[in-house]
Amino acid sequence: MVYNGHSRRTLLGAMIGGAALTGAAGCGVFGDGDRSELTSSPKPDPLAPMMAGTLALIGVYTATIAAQPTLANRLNPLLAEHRAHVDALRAAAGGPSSGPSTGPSSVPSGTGPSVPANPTEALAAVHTAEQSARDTAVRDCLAAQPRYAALLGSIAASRACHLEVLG
Amino acid sequence: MTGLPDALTGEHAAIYGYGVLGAHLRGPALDAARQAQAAHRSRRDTLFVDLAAADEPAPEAAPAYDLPFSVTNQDTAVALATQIEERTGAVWRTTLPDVTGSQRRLALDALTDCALRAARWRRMAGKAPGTVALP
Repeated sequence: MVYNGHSRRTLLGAMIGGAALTGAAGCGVFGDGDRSELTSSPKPDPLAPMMAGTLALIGVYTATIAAQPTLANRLNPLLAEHRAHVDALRAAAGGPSSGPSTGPSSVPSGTGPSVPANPTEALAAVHTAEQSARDTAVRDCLAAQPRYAALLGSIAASRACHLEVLG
Repeated sequence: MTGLPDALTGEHAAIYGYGVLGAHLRGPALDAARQAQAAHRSRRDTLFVDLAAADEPAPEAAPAYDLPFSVTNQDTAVALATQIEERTGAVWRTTLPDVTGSQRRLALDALTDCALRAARWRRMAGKAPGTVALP
């Protein structure tokens, strides 16, 4: 039990306090999983579908922002978080060489997702893409090996938060 | 079953924290705090049932918990609410690798709800969109 040797009050106080959590808990209760496990490089890469889906979602965001500049302020912060997911997935999968080459801006114009001409419809299309990506992340998290469950859970939770922002 | 006792410990603290900060909120913020506390109670109750079913000891709540800072007004109350959701969500995230099946679903739902509430509290503090990349 993590609270062995500590009063519960002390440990819980530390949890709320946020400071010195590692010292108080002592055994990584407040860490974010066994990151050391994430450095192995399994083959085939079980994160490849999530990586591909995340890049596709980034393509929807970049195409929408390009076609509907009035949505940029709303979409750019969420886009940045999707790009952070790519970085986290790549790190979890074992380094830069394991993911498909990224480059949201490298999506060739003309082959990217089509964007509705009406801004409201364009935003709705982003919402639909985010919803689908969220559902996929939930499914992947539930089926994931332990080493990937926390990362995929965070991505699923992030996408749920995006849905609320997108309305 | 590793992980679920930690999650229960976190939910106890969250419930306590909302009890303290709610006194400094009004209107929609108070409503949000009440709903959040009810949600944490619901998760606590689910954990009690799951741990009992597995014949595992369930950590009890402490009578009181040390707070990271004084809650004296709406701003500090919202700041504490944000921190509660971040920390409780982090505990649930840590639980994810330790569980499977319906318990992983429970942990993922709890992590997601904590992330949603944290983002709402950040927006209430004026930080839009209030989301983070990896809650």
